[in-house]
Amino acid sequence: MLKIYFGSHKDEIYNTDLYYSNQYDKMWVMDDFAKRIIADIDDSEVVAPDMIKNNIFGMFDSKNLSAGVKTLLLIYNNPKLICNISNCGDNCAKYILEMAENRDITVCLHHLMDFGKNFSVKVINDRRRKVISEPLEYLALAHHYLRGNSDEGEN
Amino acid sequence: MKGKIKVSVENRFISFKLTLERNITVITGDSGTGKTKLINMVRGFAELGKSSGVTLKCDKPCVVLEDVNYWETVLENTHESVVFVEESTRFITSHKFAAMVNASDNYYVLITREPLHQLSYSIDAIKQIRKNDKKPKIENIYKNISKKDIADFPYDLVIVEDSQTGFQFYTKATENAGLQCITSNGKSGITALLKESKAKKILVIADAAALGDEIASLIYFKENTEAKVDFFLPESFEWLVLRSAIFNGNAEVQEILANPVDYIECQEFPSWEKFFTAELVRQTKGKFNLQYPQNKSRLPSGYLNESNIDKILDAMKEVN
Repeated sequence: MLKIYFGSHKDEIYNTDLYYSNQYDKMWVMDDFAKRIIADIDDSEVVAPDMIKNNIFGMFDSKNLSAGVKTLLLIYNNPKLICNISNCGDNCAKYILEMAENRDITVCLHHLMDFGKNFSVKVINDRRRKVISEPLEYLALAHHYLRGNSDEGEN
Repeated sequence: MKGKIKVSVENRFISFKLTLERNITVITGDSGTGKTKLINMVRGFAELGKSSGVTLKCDKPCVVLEDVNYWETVLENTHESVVFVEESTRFITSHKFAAMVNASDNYYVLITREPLHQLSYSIDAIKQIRKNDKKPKIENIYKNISKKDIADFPYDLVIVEDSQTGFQFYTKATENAGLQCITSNGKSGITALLKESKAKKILVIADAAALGDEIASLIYFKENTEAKVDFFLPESFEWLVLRSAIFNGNAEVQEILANPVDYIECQEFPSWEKFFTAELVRQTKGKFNLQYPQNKSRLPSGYLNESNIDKILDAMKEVN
């Protein structure tokens, strides 16, 4: 199950890009799941450990993957980390749900990610435990927790 | 700083072209489109110039404001520049950053998916990078989402974000349409009202100039509700009034409306809504029944007669 904490969490890895640069394993990209997301999201092909090929940029290492892919790889290889998935675009959402199908993953979310029409997540702010599958209920909770008590932008 | 600013950044592999028309531009969207590459190229050129291997063309200096504990000092000493801020930068949602942006003479390119509630930015300033081989396109996300003709009001419910003059106008304009017209008392209240509503046909009226932080939620609601939801999103109510036939004979107003970017000094008017309010106040000063109040508390009766209501409602029809 995907457990979402809207907003900042004390144990959150907010800058997943920086964390990845300091903690990644060059073998991570060799996994089939990693190869699939790198092909889909970054239009690139894994050639060897830490060696990725792209038609535009040529060869590059794992540190130059997109922030979204790096965040997915962090979660996939460290499911207990609480990563900020606002570093991921909506094109990463299906992979986040896929990773959470058979294990619990807790993430922080600072924006309204679009998980599509069919999803089940838990929003865990305020010790909530209810499973959310209804997009408008998800929207209401996102709006409630992300808006918080913040002021309107100055008009 | 005012006017259009063109930024062109390229290296051997890829090139980006970006035209900034407002003080705040937000780049968001899918992963893997090149946002970080764009920032890294700007950073490389800002630090090392041509010897970075990056070619950057812009009439103003382009800098990357880094997530360091002395960012405020850096920003205090940055003027007449294009300031890029990358994803995962903590201060981007802070009150302090918003206050410094609003008081500064820089343009900003903010790469983030987080709604920036402390800043006032337009839905037209939210862009995404679309993959296109070596020349990705940077394009507006929210194109053609506003209705242009609402004069017949085929709705059960009209939600007006404004609670003052704009709300007074739309209340009068809809009084014979057999519908409910309510205010959300600000943009943050729109989503909650939509969620609570049982109406089947809803029109949301809001200022596009300041709706940037809410538009994703509103589009998400529209895409996931069974109700029919339309948006009427003029730049601002005052802009709509200035665009109306009431000011057809005013050459100065027509000139400003044709190219507002050339008139709006970002340090004085961090939001275009403020500029158009000031302009409407200036243009109607001393005019019987039309003198627009700076505090927007009460709409003069001249805007509420049938002829002028029609003129104002028609003012979006010609917008591209």
